[in-house]
Amino acid sequence: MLYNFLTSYTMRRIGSAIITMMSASVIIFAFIHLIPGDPIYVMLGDGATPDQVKDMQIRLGLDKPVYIQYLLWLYQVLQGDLGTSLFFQIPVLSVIADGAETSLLLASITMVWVLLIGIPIGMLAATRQGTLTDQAASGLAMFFASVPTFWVGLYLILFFAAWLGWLPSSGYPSIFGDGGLANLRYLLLPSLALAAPNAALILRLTRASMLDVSRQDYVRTARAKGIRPWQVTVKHIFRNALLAVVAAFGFTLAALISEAVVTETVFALPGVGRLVVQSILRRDYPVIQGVILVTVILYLGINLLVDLINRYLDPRVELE
Amino acid sequence: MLSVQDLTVSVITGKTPLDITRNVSFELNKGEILGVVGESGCGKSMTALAIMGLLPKTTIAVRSGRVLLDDQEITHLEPHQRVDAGLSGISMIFQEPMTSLNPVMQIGDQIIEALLVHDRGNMRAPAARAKKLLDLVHIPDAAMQLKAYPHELSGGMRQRVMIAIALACNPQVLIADEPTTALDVTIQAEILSLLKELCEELSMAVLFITHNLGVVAQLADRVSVMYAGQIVETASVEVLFEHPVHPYTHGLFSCLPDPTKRSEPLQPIPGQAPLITEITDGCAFAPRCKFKTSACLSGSIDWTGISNGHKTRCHHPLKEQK
Ligand SMILES: Nc1ncnc2c1ncn2[C@@H]1O[C@H](COP(=O)(O)OP(=O)(O)OP(=O)(O)O)[C@@H](O)[C@H]1O
Ligand SMILES: [Mg+2]
Repeated sequence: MLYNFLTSYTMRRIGSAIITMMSASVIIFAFIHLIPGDPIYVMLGDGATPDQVKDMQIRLGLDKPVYIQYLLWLYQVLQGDLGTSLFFQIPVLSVIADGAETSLLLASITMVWVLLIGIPIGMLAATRQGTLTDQAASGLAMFFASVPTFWVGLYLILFFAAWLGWLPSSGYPSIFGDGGLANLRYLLLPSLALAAPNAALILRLTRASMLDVSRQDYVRTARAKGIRPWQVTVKHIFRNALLAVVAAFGFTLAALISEAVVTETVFALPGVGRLVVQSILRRDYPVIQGVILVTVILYLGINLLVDLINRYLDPRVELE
Repeated sequence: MLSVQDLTVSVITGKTPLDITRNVSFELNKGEILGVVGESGCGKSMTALAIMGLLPKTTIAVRSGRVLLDDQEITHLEPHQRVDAGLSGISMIFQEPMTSLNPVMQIGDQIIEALLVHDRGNMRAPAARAKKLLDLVHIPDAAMQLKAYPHELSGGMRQRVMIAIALACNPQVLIADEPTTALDVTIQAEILSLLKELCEELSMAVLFITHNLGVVAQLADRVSVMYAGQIVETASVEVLFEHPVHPYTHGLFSCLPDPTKRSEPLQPIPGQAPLITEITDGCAFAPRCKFKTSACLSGSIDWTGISNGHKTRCHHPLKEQK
């Protein structure tokens, strides 16, 4: 029983995620050493005194052998200590936490749009293949998949904020402060801009894999049974087409993370994406390192989840 | 019981429809096994799909002719429309058992799905009835296998599951489109004897499509030989094997290796079957036929009766014994 669980797909998949995480941690740790020139001078500027440099070296632990530095860093990270921001002079984790609300909400709302728009319209386009509905949906999807996020964002601001004045164009006050949940309206335009290319991608993928599956022999078997056409579509075609769509979610997520940086900048949202941009300009390396670490953990975690969902949906999946 | 009358199935995507089958007619009676033989591409599967109402209707359609089940017309109805009209009496199993089952659904559920559609009055204990069907097609350990996924079963087992699904639809007629072509020989024999057994037990009619004359000899009561979209000869198995009269049928037998005449070389039919785009007036076999006359090259070739139940579309049916 225990042996079965330990060798099960789930355990092996978690194991491989941990190994990936460890390799990633080495690279993220090395980040601070990859900065061209002496990082201390880069951080402190050219006018730094030798005392300041010495002090900084000790603070960052740069005076010890590299592998010790790595183990110490790992030990701290495992305790949730990601170091101190050079700019804010507070723990990196709380700097990130400040931006996390905005970014996580933005990502979640975006994902809801992506699923709500991409999957049903993709299904509709596939079941009406060749009709006007299909051509309109596919054409729009093609368009939104090929224009950049910031362009969509700027047009949304022009139309809904500047011209119609329906929605705010920038900023985001916390939903835990004044205004409460109504503040979510600040995220409406950014999430739509961010969702546009990704929903377009999922739409096209859903449509293509539905069409592919509907040509399969087992769909003919299902129709031969005399069950209703919508049952054939949902239980046989969609259920199998979903496998390809879920598998692509991991990629969508990667795109989402990088596009979020642009979107948060366009809409001046106090999120992690904008924090990264500002931290790069401020040369706040501990913060950049921390954000990368958190992002990688999130990315691997969600991919793990996607694989486990796929495992649940597809009895054939086996880890090679 | 099943009556197919002048069925012409055509590709309808081009400017003019392109006929895949022309005037295919046959009758199938209760408990009878009719073998349909013909080489690859002659339109066997399209005939079967047309009878089932499963043609990919945007590209291929029944242009003329009728399919009657117990004297009720079902020609243009899809399976679910037949269920609604109470006319669902035909099931089908396919050539590829490996790809004909939904890979993400347990086989029990795939059988139950069919049971629920076809037995509205009897919704109770569908799982028990699915298990009975698996027993009926001789799947060992049926209760366990209900939970299995298709990829956990061998090709032979999957074809048995396909038969179970077909039986779940309560068919009077079972269409088997080359159900053993993808399986190896020992499994083939098992599936064939299962079909024969079911046909007798359930007094079900079977339309058995194959390009293997040996299988027909084993299984069928009557045979129809198809060539380039037409049935060219029909007879009982004994008569056809004893005395084939259409030059094409005769040619098919000459292609068969005969162990008693090993020294004689096999005699393949010269030339090739025409593509559906190349078919012109007259007999489609004429270009390859050594008995052809000018009469064979124009008009449509009508049936010539040879004996009771034996007929052929040929102006010059062979007289001599094979
Ligand atoms: N979409 C299509 N467009 C044009 N021609 C088609 C189309 N689908 C099938 N055909 C033609 O229909 C003919 C009959 O095909 P069918 O599958 O019925 O043959 P078959 O007798 O079952 O052959 P096999 O023994 O290989 O299964 C073939 O010549 C094929 O080229
Ligand atoms: Mg075929």
